[in-house]
Amino acid sequence: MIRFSTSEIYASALDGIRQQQNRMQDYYRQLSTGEKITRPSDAPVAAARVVNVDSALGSLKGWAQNVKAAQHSLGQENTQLQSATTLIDRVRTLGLQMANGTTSAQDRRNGAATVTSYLHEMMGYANAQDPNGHYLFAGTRSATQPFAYNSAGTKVQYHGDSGQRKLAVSRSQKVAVSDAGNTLFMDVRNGNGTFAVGAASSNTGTATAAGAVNDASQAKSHLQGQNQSYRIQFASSGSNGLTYTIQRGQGTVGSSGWTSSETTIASGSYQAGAGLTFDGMSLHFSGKPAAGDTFTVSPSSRQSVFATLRNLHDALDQSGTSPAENAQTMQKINNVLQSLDQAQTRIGSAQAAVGARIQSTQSAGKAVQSVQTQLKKTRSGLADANMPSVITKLDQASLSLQAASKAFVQVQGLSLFKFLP
Amino acid sequence: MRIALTGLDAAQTGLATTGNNISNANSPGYSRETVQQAAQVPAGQTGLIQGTGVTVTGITRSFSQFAESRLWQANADAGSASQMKSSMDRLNNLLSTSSGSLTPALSGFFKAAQTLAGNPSGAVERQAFLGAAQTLSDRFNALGDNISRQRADISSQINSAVGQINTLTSEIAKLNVKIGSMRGGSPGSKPNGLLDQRDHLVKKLSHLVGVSVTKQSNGSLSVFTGNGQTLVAGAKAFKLGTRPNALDGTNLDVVYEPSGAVVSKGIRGGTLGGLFSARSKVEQAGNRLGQIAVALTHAVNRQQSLGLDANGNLGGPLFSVPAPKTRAASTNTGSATVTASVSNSQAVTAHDYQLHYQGGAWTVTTRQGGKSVSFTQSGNTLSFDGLSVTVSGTPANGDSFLVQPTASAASGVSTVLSDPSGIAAAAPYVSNAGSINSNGALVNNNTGNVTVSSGQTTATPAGNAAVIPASDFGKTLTIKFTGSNSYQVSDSGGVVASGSYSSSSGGHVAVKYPSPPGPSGEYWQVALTGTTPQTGDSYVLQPAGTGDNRNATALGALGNSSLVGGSATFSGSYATLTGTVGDAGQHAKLSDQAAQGALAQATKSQQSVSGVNMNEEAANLLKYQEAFQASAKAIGTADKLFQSILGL
Repeated sequence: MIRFSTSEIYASALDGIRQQQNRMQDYYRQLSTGEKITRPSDAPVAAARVVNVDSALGSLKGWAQNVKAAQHSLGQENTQLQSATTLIDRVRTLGLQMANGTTSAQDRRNGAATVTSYLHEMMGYANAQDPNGHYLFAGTRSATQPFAYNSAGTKVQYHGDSGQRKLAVSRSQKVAVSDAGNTLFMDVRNGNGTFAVGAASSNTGTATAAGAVNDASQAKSHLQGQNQSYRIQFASSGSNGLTYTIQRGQGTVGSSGWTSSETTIASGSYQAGAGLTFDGMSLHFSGKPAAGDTFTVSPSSRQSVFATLRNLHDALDQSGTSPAENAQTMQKINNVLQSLDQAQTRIGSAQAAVGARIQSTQSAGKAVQSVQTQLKKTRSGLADANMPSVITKLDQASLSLQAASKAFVQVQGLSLFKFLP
Repeated sequence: MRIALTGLDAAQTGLATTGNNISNANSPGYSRETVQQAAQVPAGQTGLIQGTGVTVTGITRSFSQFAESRLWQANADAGSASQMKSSMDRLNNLLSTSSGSLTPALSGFFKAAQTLAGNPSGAVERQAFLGAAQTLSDRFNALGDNISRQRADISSQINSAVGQINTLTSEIAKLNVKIGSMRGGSPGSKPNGLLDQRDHLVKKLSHLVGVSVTKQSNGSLSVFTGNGQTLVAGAKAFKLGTRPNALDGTNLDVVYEPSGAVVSKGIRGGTLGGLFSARSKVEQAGNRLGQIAVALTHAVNRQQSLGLDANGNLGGPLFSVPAPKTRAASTNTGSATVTASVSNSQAVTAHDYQLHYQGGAWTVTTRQGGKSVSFTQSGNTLSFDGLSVTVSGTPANGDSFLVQPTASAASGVSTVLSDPSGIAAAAPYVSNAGSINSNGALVNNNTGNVTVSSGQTTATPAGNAAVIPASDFGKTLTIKFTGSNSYQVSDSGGVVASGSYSSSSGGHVAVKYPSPPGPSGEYWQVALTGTTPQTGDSYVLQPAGTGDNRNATALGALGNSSLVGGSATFSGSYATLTGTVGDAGQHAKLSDQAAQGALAQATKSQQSVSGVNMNEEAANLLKYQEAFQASAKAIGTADKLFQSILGL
């Protein structure tokens, strides 16, 4: 039979009580903090995963915040671009109205004043600022006003750069939240985007020319690929008819380079109403050209939307009353209308891109949210105390503690000394 | 009547012993005593042989050497386990998942970088980023300091344990003497109290350090440490002492004072053994944390140095972190000293290294585990695991050095950037098509279709790159095509480089970073691509404006890059640390439970022999009381008989 020493009986009874109390303490802690793990040793694997989940949640928070910032920035940009396209529409309407044959020279000169105010309005949109005072369309030079007149006041110049700001909205996805002003407003091709038509100011006929591209690759290989320009000259064929000559050369028409390289590529008698076709492009004339009239076709060059507006202003402001002057003005207005189309396309496609980015940001935001929800669930499963089960366990532990205490009292009462006289 | 008197004596001794047992029921180390009594040998008379009474032959203690030895062993294990548990508990509390963790500070820092990317010139965002950096370095400091404190506490605990061991061994030696001197008497009269006291001291000693005990024929106990050093031999006690480790002066070693030998490795069990095991775990945790600190601070500082701050200068360091700690062994005889620096923070490990010079050659081993580390040597510089260690002076044969790249990193991290405008949120250059005119405006008259990339950092510029010297870094650079397959790069003073162009591989311009403040051997490179460059087409690299956020974005992305040991993110590495420390904590808890259980079992079996049971003593009390009363009665009866004879 095993002997028990009395002190051992006390010690082991106390030990039992202490263990139950420790357990209850742990359950109390879980109940009060709501967390299953407070120290890594409580559950090492889960604790390590909690660290990983917490850090992933931290990254997601950063991305969620970027999603918000991106939507805000893109929204601002969208507003400005929307205003700019609306304005271009208005300029276009005015241009069409002015191009109408019945519009008087005086009306056109009045129209010029309207164009000036439109030009100011366009400057306003291009120099838009965010609530922090940063210019939206200045690239990375957001503290500098990007669009300003040169000292002569004749040209709008760009003082920003080509920087585009991007924000990370997930581990791998970055969304552009700005566009540089030079691509939006400055570097717009003039004419039809491939070539621009010009009428010499010395022309005496009433013809205006409009061009079209028939074979884009052929036209581009001459215009952009080899930087060639064309000159179309009309001459009298004697019998009340006209002949035309088309010359092609390198560089700007009339420049020394062009003169030295020019060759005649086509010539013949001019049939009114029939277009001239050469090198993948064609020209149609409305009105009557006069002998000695000259038209040029040159590769589209970059022309800012401000310059286009200014051209319209100048065309209207300088419009004269003679038929020849009228034709000059009409030619200029037509050119402006074509360039406006290019600007409209440029800004419109930028606006479409902004819209697409807003959408992709939104879906990135949704993805972030759903991963957040998922991770929070995972974290809760790893680290949060299961309240009902903890409460049940606490009840059990307190019951065991009561039993142990009672047993202790009973054992303590069972001493032979109590029965000694 | 004489016979009854012996009975009375015996009963009184019994009562006294029982009383002693009862009063010592709760004295630690006390062994229950019992009275040994025997019938007295009858006097040599002829005829009827009559008993002559009872004699008390001795008072013996109930004692089992086996149970006692088991108790000592269990006590040593329990001492070690409970020390380990309390140390690991402390470490675990430090890395507690909610408040004490590094994770919120890490996440906060990288989120602040993202916020900054959203508004790179914002004063508020810049200030907030600096604040987050400060919080992060504070967090590292708090964790690192706590671990250092725990290491210091372990040292002082080792000191105090060694002190207690010395006190106990000298007490045991003294008791050996006393017990020896009292053994001369009758075989029945053992000095029970002294024996109990000595056994109790051995038990206390075994709680401090694992010992083996042998009993000598003269009754004295000899006590040895786990690896055989004599602590007590007869009347002599031999002292243990402490001394700073020869290699790492911040750690204490236990030495055997009579020989001066270091015996730390032989210490097993007991509080002291537990302290040594705990110390290596605490050191490992500190190094792991330091590894994260080193990797993080180097990566962030490097990214800072790649970008432009709000004033257009390359960013200065955001954090400072102590260089790897080096230490010459106190036993070195040569004049050599070593210095170490981090050459590749991603390759830095959590190891400490021991450099040993033997026979004219160096060997490098990890200090914990002693694994050999391969290194490359060029001149006086050894390179291994992302470190380069330079030896100056002349080492002597057998000299050793300690290199600790990470041990003091976490406590030593500080945020050194105080000016918010010093944060490098922008990349160095913005690439533009066109050129800058006399008004400073960007004008694009290019007719070709070549485009220029926005650029990136590289250590190896493309083969066809026009390389721009570091002296031109930060200047506006114009790239101009001089033909369909050549271009020139010029600054305001003229042409600085030229490159060749082909429509298949394009062209490149690489601008070398000035170092310092930039990183060494790095370039900012842009690519030109397109099929038809036209002579005169121009591109311009302009220093980025304050609205550029590329470097801030890159700073934010560091948080998700595997930069610790080349394989883990900062938080991933911290998660591993948490898991490791948690494992150690859980293991310590379970070992402690097991050891406490074994101790309880051993105590129970020892107590079942030596412990006092009150009920038993109560019964004995009654027994002896009865015997006493009976003997008294016998005397009374004898007296009565005598009186009646007298009264006749």
